[in-house]
Order: sequence, then C-alpha cells, then structure tokens
Amino acid sequence: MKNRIKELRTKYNLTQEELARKVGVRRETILFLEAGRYNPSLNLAHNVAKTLKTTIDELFHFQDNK
Amino acid sequence: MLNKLRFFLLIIIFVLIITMFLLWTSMDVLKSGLNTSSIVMFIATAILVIFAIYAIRKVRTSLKRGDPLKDERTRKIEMRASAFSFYISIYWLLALGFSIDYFKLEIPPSSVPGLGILGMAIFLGFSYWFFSKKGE
Repeated sequence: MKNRIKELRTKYNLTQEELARKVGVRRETILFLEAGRYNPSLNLAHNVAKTLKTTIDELFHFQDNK
Repeated sequence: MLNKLRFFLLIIIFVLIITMFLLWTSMDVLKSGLNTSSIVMFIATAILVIFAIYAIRKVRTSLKRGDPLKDERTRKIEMRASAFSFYISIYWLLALGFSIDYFKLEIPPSSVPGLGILGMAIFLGFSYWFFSKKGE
C-alpha cells in the first residue's frame, strides 16, 4: 500500500516526531507508515489523514489483491 | 504518569529477576563449585543485565521525548512475537529434554526450568526484534 504521508508532512512542515505526537503514536510507527511497511488501523489512518488535512482515500493508495 | 509508573515497574522487575538469577547462581556455586550449570547461569545473568540496560535506556529515551511507550504497531509486534516465541519454545523445551538425555549433560534438575525459561525469554526477545525490523 503506497501513501502520501511524507509528501503531505513535508508540505505542512512537520517532522516525523511532531506528526507522531499529534496522532499519539511512536516516531518509528510514522517511519514505518511512510515506508509502506506498516498497515495502520482505520482509526490511525483517520487520525493521520485528519492531521494532514486530507482524507484516507487521498492519503493511501490501495491496490487490489486479485 | 502511567508511563513513569511503567518505567519504575520495569526497573523493579529487572532488579528482582537479576537478583534471583544471581542468588541462584551463587547458591549453585557455593553448593557444588563451578560447573557447567553455574557457567550457563552466569552467562544467562550477563545476557539479562545487558538486555535490562538496553530496555531501560530505550524506555528512558522514549519518556524524555514524550513518546508513548506503546502504540498499535508495538502491540501488534508484541502479539506476533509472543505467539511465535511460544510456538518455538515448545520445540526448545523438547530439544532441551532430548539433549540432556542423549548427550548425558550434567545439568541438575533444578536448573532445567531455568534454562527453559531463559530460552523462552531469548526467543521472545529475538522474535520481537525480528518482527519490529520486518514490518508488514
């Protein structure tokens, strides 16, 4: 699953640490999210999208597993 | 506040475990001199001390940065690592029992549970490290 977290985080001048604090997770979780190595829960995805002033659909690019 | 409480609880648990291991090893050495099991116990204690220092430093850094000690990713890792290490531990205990019988190892029966628990702890630590690096 690809995402635009890094792009939007940079746009809003947020560090990984700041974003992590805003959404209430550890910095490493943001690092893994950005690298596409962690699939967040719906709740975390919503919080990240809200913090980055976007929607889950805009933030995450889901790929069909067919 | 809860994080600080967890931090102090972690220190207390480590101190208790290490003290228990040291007492156990010392009693073993005093009773039957320096043998294989006491050397194994010394190594186990050393590993525990290193792990305790690493864990306490990591938690302290997190507390200083104001990070939560746990989040949904670390909880998932904990669950996966626990399940995996439990599965592997069964084979570890079987292998330990088999090795003692087959190789006629001179390990006192009182040390066998300790070795079993030590192996389980090492597998848990290794699994946690593996799953935290692997990602999804």
